[in-house]
Amino acid sequence: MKNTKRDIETYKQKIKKRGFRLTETRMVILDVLLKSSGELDAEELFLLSHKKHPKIGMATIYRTLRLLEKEGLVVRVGFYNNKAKYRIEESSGPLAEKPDIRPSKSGLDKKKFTGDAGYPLVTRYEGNLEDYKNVERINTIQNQLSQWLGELSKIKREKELALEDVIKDFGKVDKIVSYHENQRSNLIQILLDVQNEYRWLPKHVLLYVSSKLNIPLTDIYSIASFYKSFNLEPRGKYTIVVCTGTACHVRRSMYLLQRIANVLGIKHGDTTGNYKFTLETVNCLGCCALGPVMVLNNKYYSNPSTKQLEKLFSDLD
Amino acid sequence: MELKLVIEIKNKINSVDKLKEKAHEVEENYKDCIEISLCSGTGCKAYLPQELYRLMLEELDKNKEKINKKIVVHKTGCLGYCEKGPIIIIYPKELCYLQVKSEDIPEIVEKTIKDEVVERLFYKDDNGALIPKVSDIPFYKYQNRIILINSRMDPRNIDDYIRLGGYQALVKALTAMTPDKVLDEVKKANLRGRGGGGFPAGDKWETTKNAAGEPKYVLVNASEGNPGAFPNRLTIEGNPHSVLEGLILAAYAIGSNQGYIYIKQEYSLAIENINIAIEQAREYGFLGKNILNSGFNFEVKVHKGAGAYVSGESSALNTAIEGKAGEPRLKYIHTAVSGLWGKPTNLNNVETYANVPQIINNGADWFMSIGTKGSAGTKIFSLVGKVKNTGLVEVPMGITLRDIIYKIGGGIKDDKKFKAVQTGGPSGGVIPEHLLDLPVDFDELTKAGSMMGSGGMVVMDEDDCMVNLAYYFIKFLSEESCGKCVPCREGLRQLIYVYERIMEGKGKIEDLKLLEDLALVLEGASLCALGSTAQNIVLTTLKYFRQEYEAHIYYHSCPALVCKPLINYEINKEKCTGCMLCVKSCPVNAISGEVKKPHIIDQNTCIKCDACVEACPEKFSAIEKKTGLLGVKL
Repeated sequence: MKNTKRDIETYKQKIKKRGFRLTETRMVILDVLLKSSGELDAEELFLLSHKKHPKIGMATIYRTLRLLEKEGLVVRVGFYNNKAKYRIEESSGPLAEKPDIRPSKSGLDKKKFTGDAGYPLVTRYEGNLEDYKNVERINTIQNQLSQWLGELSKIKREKELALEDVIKDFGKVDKIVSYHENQRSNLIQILLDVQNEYRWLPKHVLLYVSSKLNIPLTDIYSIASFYKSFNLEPRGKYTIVVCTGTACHVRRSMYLLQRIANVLGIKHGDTTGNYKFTLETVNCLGCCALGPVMVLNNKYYSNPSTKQLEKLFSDLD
Repeated sequence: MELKLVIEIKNKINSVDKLKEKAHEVEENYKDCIEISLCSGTGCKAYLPQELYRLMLEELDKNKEKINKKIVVHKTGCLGYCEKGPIIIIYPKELCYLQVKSEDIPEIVEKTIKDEVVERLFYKDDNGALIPKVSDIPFYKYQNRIILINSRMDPRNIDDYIRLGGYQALVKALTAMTPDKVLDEVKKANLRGRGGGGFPAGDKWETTKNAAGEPKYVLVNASEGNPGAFPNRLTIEGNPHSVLEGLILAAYAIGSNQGYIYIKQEYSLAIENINIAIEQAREYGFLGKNILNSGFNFEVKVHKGAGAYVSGESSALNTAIEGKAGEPRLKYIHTAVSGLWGKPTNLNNVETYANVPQIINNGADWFMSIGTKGSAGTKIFSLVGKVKNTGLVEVPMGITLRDIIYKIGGGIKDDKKFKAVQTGGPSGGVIPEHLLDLPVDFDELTKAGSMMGSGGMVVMDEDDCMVNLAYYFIKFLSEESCGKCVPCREGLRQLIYVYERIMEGKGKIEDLKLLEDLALVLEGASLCALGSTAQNIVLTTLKYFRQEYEAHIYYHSCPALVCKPLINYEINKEKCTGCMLCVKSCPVNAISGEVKKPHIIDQNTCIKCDACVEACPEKFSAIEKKTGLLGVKL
């Protein structure tokens, strides 16, 4: 450690040559590294340099270390107790020739950014082989899952198509449209009435309405998807409505919803696989005295228990 | 054909005398007769009032010989006292029977014929004393009903309404008053909009009247989407003619010939009743061409709303009626000047219109004498939540919240501790116990950080978590937001994230500042009231219940045992008898145990669905909810 001063000077020059600023903090950290006898980890470095310069924080240490390491002035040695140790690079032979990689004032020099600045771009994977096997296993499971999901949606679509096929007679739609005087402004009313008829809005019926009223299908969809009352997917034969208005909420309607979901095995907004039940929530039914309320088949049930629910659902055909 | 025309003309009422004649004729009909009013509103629908009605008629038919007086059964709209429904009121003695079941009907009919009473169905007060008369029951005693006068009328019978003084205001206005005079009267009465903001209706009418452009439109806003509020629904269901009369009067004052009633399609009974009312009014000549020979024409259409909360906003409602997606727009120009199809449009709430006939009939001074100086008249509230007497109440403005909750509402259910009352739906805020003596009017509620709204009043007790409540409303608003403006769409979503964080026990104390900041941005930058009023619930819960937020953040505990991530279900070993009921009820098989040995809940599998609490017999109550870092309730 006899020629510390000269050393600092050489390193200062190196940094300057690379085109980096010689900030106070960098100087302090470099100084600490040079003065230390052995290797230091980031925390030790922080403790030593923080005493000399109160503005230095952990982040400054890491940032500076990364910079110095990149430039080859500092090397990382070993990895003890989850802590990397650093020491100053003594041989300064080839390093001096490293080019300035920062953009020159005249503009960006693209060539200098192509990756051959002297540091590796790709790191080699050095884990153990077990991990590879696991990844393979995960991939097969994922493939299987997506296949199943694809099959499921196919089945669902087939059922939808089958349900759509039921509606071939547009006489009713004609009646509804003419009742509303073939007017575009009555579109919401028309759609509501169509839905009352079929319980949902099948695509081909919407197409028919669009041709009848001479408005684009997109316009119809924009309305059908904006308003909550419209269903673009087929509904179950029975709709279970659970009130989640404030009054029912404070009387724990979420537990009732959870119970029904447990019994039917569907979430709210969903329809059971056999298109028998659809579970819906509504904001207020106006009979808060009974809360939490469930409506099925136009009958009101006040906080039914799991047993009651099971009986109720199994009694319906 | 000719005969039909003659009948139609004969039915038409075209002068004051004819209306008086009609009222007299109806009154004669009801003279000396016993009237039985059976509540058939939505609140009582669950008890199958049609069934009771059918039974009642059957019973009356059976006892035909014994009847020496005429007996009429009214299927009325909501009578208000939903907690004790179904209700039967028997006039002229005003006997009130509560919680009537189908078994009771024969006895009621029998006793009524004999002019006796069924004592066991009377209201019992706390001391056990029987109160037979409806107006003496505390629930009704402290109310002042000027709009909810539907207890003696069938909403589907216009004659009943005429008997109660209906359409007198219309006849008075059209025969003896100029449109300007009607407008002046409403302005003088300082009738403020009952839909939420409390904007003076008279001023709105005047703006529409003076705005350039023809035709002008008048709209009724019955798109009541507030969770937990239903005054508009029950007003239309119970007395559709009062709304219709108010609408016609407004149209006369403004000079409009076309009206729309925007009503949620879920309100099937209300839609049915208003349609019948429109038909009947047309038959009597209150609608159509040349009403009451005054040269004034007016037509009404019912528009069913397809369920979007934001469509209740004035500009959004206009676009919804035009058949488009109901999104609001910036209101540099108010809808009163440029609304439906770009024409001047007046939009008021159901209750506002229902007040108009009363003002015209009794004068502005009478109206001003009710309520407070700034807010005249009465207001209908749906008093719900954890009160003993849930129902629809109409109170004069200026009454204190304490009076509503404790005198009319009868106090907190199960005698628990009162925590807060929430007014104004998702747009309002919560009011804590120390502000209970606040007089209820537009300005005072706004000062407290809440608002009048369309009349929801939800009472909450110690078992309600304020953080969860705020989250519930923010989530509701976020789902109902149309997504047109960024502050509302994104701001509400961010609020949800922060609330979810807090409710999972991952919140930081800085989050409270973040909530405040977000709320203020929403208030300042949102396009319509849906976003700008969302701050009320956030700021009031933060202001009055900050310690609850802090408990969630610092102690990871939900003092009210509501937030699922922060509570655990545990079985009390001393209380558990090992009956296996909870084991069977658990949907995820998280409970293990043997017969006659205490069971154990596996905390990792438990989804906190409350099924075991329901299954555990009440006498054991072995399943306990615990919260907080150490599982200790704070």
